[in-house]
Amino acid sequence: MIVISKVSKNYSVKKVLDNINITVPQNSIYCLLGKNGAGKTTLINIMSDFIKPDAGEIFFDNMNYNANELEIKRNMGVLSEANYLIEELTGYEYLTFVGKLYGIPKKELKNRIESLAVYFFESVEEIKKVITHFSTGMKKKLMFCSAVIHKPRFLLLDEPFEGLDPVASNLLIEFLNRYKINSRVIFLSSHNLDYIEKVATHIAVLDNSKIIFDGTLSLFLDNGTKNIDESLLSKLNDYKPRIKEVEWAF
Amino acid sequence: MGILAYLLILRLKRIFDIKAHPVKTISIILAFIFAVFYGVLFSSIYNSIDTKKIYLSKHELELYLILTLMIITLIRGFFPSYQPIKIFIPQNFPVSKVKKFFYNLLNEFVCPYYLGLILFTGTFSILMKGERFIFIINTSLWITIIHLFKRILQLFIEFRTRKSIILIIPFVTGVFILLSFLYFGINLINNNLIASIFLLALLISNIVIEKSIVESKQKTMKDMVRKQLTNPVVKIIIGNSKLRTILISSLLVKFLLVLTNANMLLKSNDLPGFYLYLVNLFLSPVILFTYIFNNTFGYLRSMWLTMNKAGVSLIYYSKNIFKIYLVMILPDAIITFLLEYFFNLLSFEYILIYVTSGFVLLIIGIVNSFYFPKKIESLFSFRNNTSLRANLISIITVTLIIFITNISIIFSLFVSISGSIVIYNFFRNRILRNRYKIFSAVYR
Repeated sequence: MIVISKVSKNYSVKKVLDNINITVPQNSIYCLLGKNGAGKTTLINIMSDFIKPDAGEIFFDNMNYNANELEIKRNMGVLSEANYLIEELTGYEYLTFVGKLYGIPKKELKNRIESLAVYFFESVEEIKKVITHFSTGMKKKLMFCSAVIHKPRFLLLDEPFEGLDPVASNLLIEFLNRYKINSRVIFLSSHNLDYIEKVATHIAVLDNSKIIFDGTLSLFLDNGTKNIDESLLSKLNDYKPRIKEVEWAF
Repeated sequence: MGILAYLLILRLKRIFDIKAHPVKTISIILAFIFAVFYGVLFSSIYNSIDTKKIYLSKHELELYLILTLMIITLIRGFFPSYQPIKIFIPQNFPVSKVKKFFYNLLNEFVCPYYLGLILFTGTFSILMKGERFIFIINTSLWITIIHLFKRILQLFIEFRTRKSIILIIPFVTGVFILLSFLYFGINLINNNLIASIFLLALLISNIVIEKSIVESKQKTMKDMVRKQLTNPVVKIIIGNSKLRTILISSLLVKFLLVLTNANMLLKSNDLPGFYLYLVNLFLSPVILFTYIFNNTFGYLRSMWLTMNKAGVSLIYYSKNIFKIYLVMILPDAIITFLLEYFFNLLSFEYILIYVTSGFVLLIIGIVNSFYFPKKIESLFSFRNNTSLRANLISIITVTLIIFITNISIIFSLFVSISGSIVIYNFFRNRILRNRYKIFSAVYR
């Protein structure tokens, strides 16, 4: 379980996150929605310890960064917006390096790398190229592989579908849906509502630096009476149809 | 440690991956051969100091070598383009902060530049007839010190820290290092106690700053480029015209001071020496001036502007600059030094003149390139990128100064300073009035 408690963050004068409180239950896929610049990435970066909050704390199974930093990180997998791949290595070498860092036994690591490569890249040979030559989508898939190679309990994904083709996106959806077992928690942010609908068990909506909705997917969809787009737009405060503003274009 | 060794070996393997990037690998191997060649060259100069008339003692040569390597190490992080810090172990990996710092630091040393430096220092110290272990220890200590100092500056450029008071650390360290140099002079390099104190202080400062990092300012390379243009440090260096004037003038002074050394050769009637000096004085400046000054002048600026608009990565930018220099400097260096070596006329002055003139021209080119946008028709077109007038002016000025200042060093200094300011203003005014005519043919 992840508990985000009273987290706030400002960028100079701009308030990005204001007293955010979220509880992410076990065996769930928790999706964070919101407009561009709403603070979704900031929240995930705070959760992954890439940036520090101005106030508040985050508890991962009652552990926080101050007291149990390494224990949390051993059990966490992160797919962030930033590219932290070592691009001069091959994909295979990078995954081996990450696996070694998490202390995965050699034989087991080889099996995991090869099966992930076959699942996401179709063949092991594909990841034996230098990462610099990877396309954006391939890099994203590699980053995802490195985030799950140690079977983390907490999986944080920032825009996991961005840059992926439909095949890769569906493979990812299938993977995530199977992954949410054994008390694991998946927390992700995305703009792709179609994919979100296929994976989410819970939804939170971030708008104007505050959480304006936090609940299950069925609650979000008003028990299936609305589709996901309508639900989101109806909840966002300042969404008003304004096509008249650009009438000159038609 | 196993993971670290694994990563270091992988990265080393990748540097020499001829299949993946043949041109880059060959260039690196060539550069390494040059590092060894320069090591042999400097050691032969060093060993002949007692027998030949050279104005430096062995001890001084060692210290100046280390000082030069320190300056190059510091400058290469920021010029010709800013090199962002590489984070090999990201924040979210389960490694303690101190361990992470040392892993990242050790990885930073695995790059062609430091490998070349190790080759140069290694060759020099093996062949030198002197206290080689002291030289190795001093070089390693001071290079690490300067690397750590550069790292602090990079951390401030790229990351936000929890408390801005920490900003004081690099300034205080910089001031302390400078003051120590002023107090002890070049001999500070020999003072292992002070070096160890600096090293320890910088290590602690780096760890403290890294621990206090709140977030990265650099989300993408594109952002980084934009940041670089609005970065106060870059603004001060590039955007401040007074500082730029002083910088260029002082560089010209250095350049001209080196050239006034020709007096010594003329006075001593050393004619073969003087002819070889001409190679350095005329041939090299013509080539270097034409290519570095003229090409860089427009190329850097236009690349900079394009990059600003299109978000081209700094790596692409630096690669192209590297191409310009590699094509002309390597053959020039080979011709010059081989000539001198085979005529047994190689001396510290020759190398100093060559390296200084090349280096100064490079900096003048870079700084000047920020004045006006220029288009370059072709990267390696001698005809299109050559300005006969600019070359003539440079050669005539240099020749005049040599003959005019053939009186005394003090007078030379005075004439050089005033001369450099006059040249600088002349060029600047000409550029302002008629900028498309003087330097390059590309704007016609």
